[in-house]
Amino acid sequence: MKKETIFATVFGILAGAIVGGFVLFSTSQKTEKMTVTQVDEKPNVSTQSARIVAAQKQLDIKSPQTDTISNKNSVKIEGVAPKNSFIIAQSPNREVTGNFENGDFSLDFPLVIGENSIEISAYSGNSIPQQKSIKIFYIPE
Amino acid sequence: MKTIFFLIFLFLNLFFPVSAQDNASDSAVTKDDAVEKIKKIAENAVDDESRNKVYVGYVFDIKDDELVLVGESGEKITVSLFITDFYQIGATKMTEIKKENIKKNDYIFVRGPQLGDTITANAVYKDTAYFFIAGKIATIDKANFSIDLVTFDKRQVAIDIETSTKQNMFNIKSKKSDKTGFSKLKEGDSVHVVVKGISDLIDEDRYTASRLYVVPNEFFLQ
Repeated sequence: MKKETIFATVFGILAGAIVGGFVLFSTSQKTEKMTVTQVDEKPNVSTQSARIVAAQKQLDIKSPQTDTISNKNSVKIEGVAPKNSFIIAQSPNREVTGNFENGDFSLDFPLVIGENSIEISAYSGNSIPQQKSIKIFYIPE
Repeated sequence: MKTIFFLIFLFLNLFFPVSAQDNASDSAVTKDDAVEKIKKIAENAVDDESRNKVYVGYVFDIKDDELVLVGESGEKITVSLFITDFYQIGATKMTEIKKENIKKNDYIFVRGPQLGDTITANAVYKDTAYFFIAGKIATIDKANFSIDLVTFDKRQVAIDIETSTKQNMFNIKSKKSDKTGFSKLKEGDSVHVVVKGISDLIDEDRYTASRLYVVPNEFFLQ
């Protein structure tokens, strides 16, 4: 076999390997970028679901999340509810009520030391409420 | 032959090395960014969990160095007690207690990081459990100071009202809450009841109200 033929074969293999490696590398980069983008977009998904919940007029507590710790002696409970809801937030120590016309609600709720189980009931249009429960743990620093 | 070698040399050393370097630096930046982002997300998740997440339930079993907690969904969680402080939650303050004060069926909540199936507890808090019952008053037993309730999930339960039961009612005229008493309760009123205890450990249809909130039936007829 001529030297030129051997060289051309080796060169062909090398060039193929380089091009193949380049293509594989570019593909893996794109996959990584897509993964990071998905992580970043998670909050948008929850925002969208909150809007869908509001549109469907279901009681939903946006904040605080249940089973969280607070070092303050009160908490602002925020969420969405059917329009024109009468809302009762009840704990073993207190009730806080309010009327909310536009579907969003916000209630300042006092906390006691330790566990604060809070049941939120939303009456709207009939005498059977929608209900959700959360637990907030007040531990002073 | 020399010309061919020269051309190949030129092709490999001038074109590919440059483009490979570019790709390498691009990929390094992209990978670093991705790793940093993932690290940050992971760190935040761990921080949030450590700082803000608690595990709550009742004590199923307690040994020297660990206890088993039954969570609210019935799941059993092992809690390691190597580096743990213990507290009793009171009405207005919490006091430090010893591990021996924690007994089976006590209601507790736990702070600490979770590794696998085990929580390494930094602190265990012994507290009082409450749960909620809500429904409409079906009948009122004035002789025994109790009410029969049809709950919103269609159960029938009896609620005993004691002198210590805190009772409030929504005033449909003032739109505020007023104190109320047993004599003002009416059939058809909606009531929200707070009961002391661990609902999983109470298997009955009669409860004692520690707190009661009434929405009069007239509210729904407006």
